[in-house]
Amino acid sequence: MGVLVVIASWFGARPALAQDTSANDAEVEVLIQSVFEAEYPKKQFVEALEKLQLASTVCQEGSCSAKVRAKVLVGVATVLAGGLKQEKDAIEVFKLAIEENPKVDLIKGFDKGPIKQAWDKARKAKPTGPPVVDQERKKYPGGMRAPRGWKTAEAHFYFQEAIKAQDDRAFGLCVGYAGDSIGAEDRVGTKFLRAQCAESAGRWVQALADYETVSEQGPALGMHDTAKTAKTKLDALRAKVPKLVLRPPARADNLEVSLDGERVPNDRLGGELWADPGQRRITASGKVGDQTVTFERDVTLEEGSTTAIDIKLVPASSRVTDNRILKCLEESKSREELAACIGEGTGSEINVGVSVELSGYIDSDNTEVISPAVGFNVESPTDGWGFGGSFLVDVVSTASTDIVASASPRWTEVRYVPGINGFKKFGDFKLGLGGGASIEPDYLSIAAGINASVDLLDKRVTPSLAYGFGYDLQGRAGTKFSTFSTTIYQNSVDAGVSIVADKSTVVTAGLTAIFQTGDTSKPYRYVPMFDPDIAPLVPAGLAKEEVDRVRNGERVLEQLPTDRQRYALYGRVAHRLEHSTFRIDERLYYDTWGVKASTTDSMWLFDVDPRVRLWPHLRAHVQTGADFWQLAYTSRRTTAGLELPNVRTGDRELGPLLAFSGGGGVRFALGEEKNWGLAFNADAVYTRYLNHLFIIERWGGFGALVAEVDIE
Amino acid sequence: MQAAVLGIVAFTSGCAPVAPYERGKLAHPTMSAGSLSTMGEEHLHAISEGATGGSGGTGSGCGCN
Repeated sequence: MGVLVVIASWFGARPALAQDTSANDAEVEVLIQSVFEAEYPKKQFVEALEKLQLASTVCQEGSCSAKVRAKVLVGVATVLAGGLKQEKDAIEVFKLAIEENPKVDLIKGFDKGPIKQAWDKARKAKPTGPPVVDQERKKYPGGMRAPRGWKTAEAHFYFQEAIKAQDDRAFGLCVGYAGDSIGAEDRVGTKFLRAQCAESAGRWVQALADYETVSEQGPALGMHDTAKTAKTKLDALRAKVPKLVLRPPARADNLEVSLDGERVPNDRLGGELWADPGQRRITASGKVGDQTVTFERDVTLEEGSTTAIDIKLVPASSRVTDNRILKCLEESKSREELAACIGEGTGSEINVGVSVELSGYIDSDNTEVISPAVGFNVESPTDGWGFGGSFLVDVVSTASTDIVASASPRWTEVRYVPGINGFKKFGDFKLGLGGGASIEPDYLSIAAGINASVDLLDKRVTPSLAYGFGYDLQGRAGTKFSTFSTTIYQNSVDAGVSIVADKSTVVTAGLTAIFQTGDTSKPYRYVPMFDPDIAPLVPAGLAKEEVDRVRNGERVLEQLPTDRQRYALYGRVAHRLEHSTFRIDERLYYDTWGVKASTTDSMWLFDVDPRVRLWPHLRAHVQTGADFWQLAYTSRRTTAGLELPNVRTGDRELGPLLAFSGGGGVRFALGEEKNWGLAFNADAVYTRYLNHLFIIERWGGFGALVAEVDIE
Repeated sequence: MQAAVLGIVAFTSGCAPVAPYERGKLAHPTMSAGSLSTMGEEHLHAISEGATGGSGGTGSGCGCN
């Protein structure tokens, strides 16, 4: 229904003093034609509507005739009915088109099937303007006798036909026959009949003239009641008949002004003229010097309105247009060229996308990672389904970047990460399933999830809900899981909403909650212990050799709590400017281990060329340490044994830190249809550890090369 | 929860209506509601930052962190 509100505002709520022009009719008609020659056959329905929207923008500036405005509406309704299968909306838009111009018809070649069905329903539901039926009238056959009170049989014949037409509600025909009767015999009674039919037929000017005659002449003929009725109707009609003021130009010779083809005497120009309601065409011609100048304008007159039109004569070749954008769109031959004007859209039967990615990471902490990945997705936008998969391989010099490579032997390990997902739309409701795994020699993670979303408020608001379950097995390299492993369960819920804030902005927000149970303590991570007298003196960043010199002798394994609830509140704003998109993300994090964090990520993507996109990227992450985080844990030997902190960790990502990334990327669209993409992005990463042993800071670099192709 | 729903209603009631044919800009690939990060980038963030979540969905874990 949001479609209808906006379309109605295009043409429906125009002020009584609105002025129209048909100056841009030709350009808009070409635009409509191009939509049904290009976008519509290719099923690019969103692009088709974008072009029609542009046409409406031009018409809103008052530079299209009612005939062309109606055509734009027919175009929109055709896309809604034939392309997007939205019959209800299409019917309402067809009704608006018919209101705009009762003589409008469907677009040739797009007048069958669901389009015709919606059109027929719209026509049945709404009368096409006043019931004017001007059929061919019968001729008096002759040979009849005039009844009593009539001078001519001919006048009586036509009078009878007028009565019949009035009974059949063929008011235009009634007016015609009454006129024929008056032509044969001028009778006040016949004029009264003609006035009534003319009023019903929307020919109020004729009706006013006849009512006036009857009210003046009726009493002298003894038709007092008829005259009184005529006077009442005359007064009522005078109050609501539209008035038109045609202001002539300052100078023009041989000025001739016509209203619906009928000449308006020059001495009536500048004053109020009565005019019938509805669409009227004003034309004028004259001479300025030796040049012939003309004027043409369509105007819709509403009941009770007063409309002033300035007759501005221009040379026939002169056009007042704003067709910079129109020309750009007319010449667009592909989606990307259209995007250069107003942005891209979607729409085809089945889309297949394949991507290959190679990313790498290296840092000053002797960690190197190479990650090749492949992905694919198949989607049917019109049928509302899709599925995809991915496979990533991590080849790392250490199992993770959180272990200080210099404090433990380096090793190379390979991790495999397959993933699949699929979705199906049921009207405005979308249901998706997904699953994935992470497979390493000492860690197995399997996850599955379900997600649902629904489009509300004409797809302006899309709330979503997702649930995921994870089952992890953590073991030791070289040891079977059955011999040694700990099990970690994870239940996660994500509730979000995406909101179309305006034509250029999307806002996304949500909350993720993760409930984790199980022992996640690393079986390889030993935590140095210090004497209680020495611990306070240990500085942050103390090197390994010094740590070994001052720590206690025991080797103590990490021990973490076995329950953790993690919460993240996130928001994202994406705003599209003329040729760029600005995006900013913010995440606020909290967990029951006491870690609090804020992460801000921003990108500004510039379409410098239809084939080239560039973007800078910045990311900042700050976090506190876990409640149990300590720079230097203490241990004490007592008579009862070794006293250790119940919870202890050397996981750097559980300590307070700041991390900053900065970089950018570039993407090239290749191929004739620009459906191939080659992208490269790189970031420098700096991490500052605020209260850690062994390390104060780390510099790293990340880069990724992505090749992708879209096939329709 | 009620406050969140009221907040969404209040926010959306202030938003301008956008008809389907006015969503050309919104359909631009850079306007995706999801993340534009590559797979490798997302993994790097997941293992080098102590926070998680905010991706709008759920995923599998790893022995990385």
